[in-house]
Amino acid sequence: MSIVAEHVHFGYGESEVLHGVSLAVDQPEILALCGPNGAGKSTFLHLLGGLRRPTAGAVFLDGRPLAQVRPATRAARVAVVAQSLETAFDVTVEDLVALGRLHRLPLRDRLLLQPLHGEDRSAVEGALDELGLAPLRGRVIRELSGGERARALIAAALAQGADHMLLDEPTAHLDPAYRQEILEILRRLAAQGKRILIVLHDLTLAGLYADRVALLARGRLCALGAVDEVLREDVLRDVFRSPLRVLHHPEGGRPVVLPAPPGEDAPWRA
Amino acid sequence: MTSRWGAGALWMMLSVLFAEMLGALLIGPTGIAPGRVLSALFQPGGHGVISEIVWQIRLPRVIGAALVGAALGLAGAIMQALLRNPLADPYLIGTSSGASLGATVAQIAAPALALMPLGAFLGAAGAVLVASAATRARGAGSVTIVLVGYALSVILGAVSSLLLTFNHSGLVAIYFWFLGGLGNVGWPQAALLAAVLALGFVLSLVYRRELDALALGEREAQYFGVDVGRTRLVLLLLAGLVTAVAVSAAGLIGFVGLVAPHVARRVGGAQHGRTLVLSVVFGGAFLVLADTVARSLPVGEIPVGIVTAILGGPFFIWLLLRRRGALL
Repeated sequence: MSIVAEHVHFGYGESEVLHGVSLAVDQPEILALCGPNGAGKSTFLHLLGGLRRPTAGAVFLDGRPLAQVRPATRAARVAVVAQSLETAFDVTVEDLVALGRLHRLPLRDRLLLQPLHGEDRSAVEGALDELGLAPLRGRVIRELSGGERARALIAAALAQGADHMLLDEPTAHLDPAYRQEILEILRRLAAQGKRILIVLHDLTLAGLYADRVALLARGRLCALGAVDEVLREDVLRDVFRSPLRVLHHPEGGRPVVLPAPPGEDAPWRA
Repeated sequence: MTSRWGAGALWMMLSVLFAEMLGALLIGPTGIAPGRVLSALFQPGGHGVISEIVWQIRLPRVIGAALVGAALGLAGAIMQALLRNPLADPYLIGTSSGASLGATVAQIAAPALALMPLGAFLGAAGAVLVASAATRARGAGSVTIVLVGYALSVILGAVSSLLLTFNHSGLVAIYFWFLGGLGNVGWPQAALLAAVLALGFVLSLVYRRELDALALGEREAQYFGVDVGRTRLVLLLLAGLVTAVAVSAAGLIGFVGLVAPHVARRVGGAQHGRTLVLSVVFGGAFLVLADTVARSLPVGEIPVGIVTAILGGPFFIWLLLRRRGALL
């Protein structure tokens, strides 16, 4: 089970955003995709999720070109989680999570207007339970806090039953406690066998929770490897063009990334 | 949290609809006693003036009003979901101006043939096809569709005005046609409406979960495995066809398609399985009421579009004022 990008290029009109990136999401783990703003992280995630087509190169789902996979089949294997969700109508948590089963709705159930039942029902219940959303199931999405909303989006992705989960900065608008909660959830899902790729801006969180880190800058993959190999001052300086400091967490020794002290110049920054 | 009466509300709305239809049958300018209307109603093959009035004038009109209202409610619910816009209505994508242009051309070209309904249908269908073609353009989102529809409305409206500038003869007929009315609905129109509405209703229910997903956003629908391009095209054509048939039968009747989905969601929540059904029933009930009011005023019959606007307009404003953030 794998999603593999091979030398993918992507551009908007004249300007190319990705210049031949290769990456495999093929292990039950958390793979963090980090890099400066505008590096092409979200674009790359959309390519992996089959939501955009590369202009050159290809993405393969279990060895098959993703471009040839039907949307419903893709959704059964790959779940994509957006950063946030703005709803125009009063959609409830349960409504949203139930949409995770949309890709496998048989024609007979459609015609008979069957409510979700059997395996689909239990997948939805399982996802609600896993993310502690059962008490909030009837709440309207837009009345939820940011952290609850992020959990609801992950629950919908979980209900899809896909082996791969691609998350686009699900922690971006969350406070530190919620960020950690979301990553704890993802760690639990990885332990259950999910192959998780997460776009993260917070390098310290990536250091604490990821199994591997990929660094993307200026449309290229600059580093890929275990946390300790990638989150190093020399590597980060080249990627971010900024003097970052890497310390080690007093408990466990994982890398912690800090900004340089005020006043330190960054002569290499473009 | 939204209140959800679900099935109870549906039965209540259906009862109201049938009560209204029955009441509407009893009312008319000829002032026939209710008992005689009812006895004529239960003798379908009967002869005489009363049977003729009940079976050939009142019944098709009342059924027609219910069907047109239901069609507008259905099309409105689909459009609001597709465009993620609670202020969308069935006419938004150029349908109304397409219909107007078609009706204008028909009236000017052959005033004696009474081709306005056919012209309106062709004009509306043409506008829907153009707007649908725009959705096939690469990366066209719901905002693009709305803007294309708007531009289309402006262009078609200008062409209609141009035609009328040089042909004053059709002005009055076209003006009253714009305002809508159910006076011309007979059995053939009612049968066509029923068939198209049934098709639209069943197909949109089959796609009800795709509508749930599309209402969240096109990207979100893609995440959940919806073939967005194809699904959106099918639903847009469906809403367009239903609207075109309704417009052809009854002219431009505003506010029904806008208001019905809102009432449906207030009552039944945001799942389209419920929204579609309740929109259809409420749309029908609203228009039967409006049409009955329109034709039983002491001043004589007025165009039903005026009544729906006067009843629906304040509701629309209330809707705008109570809307809390989060939208558009």
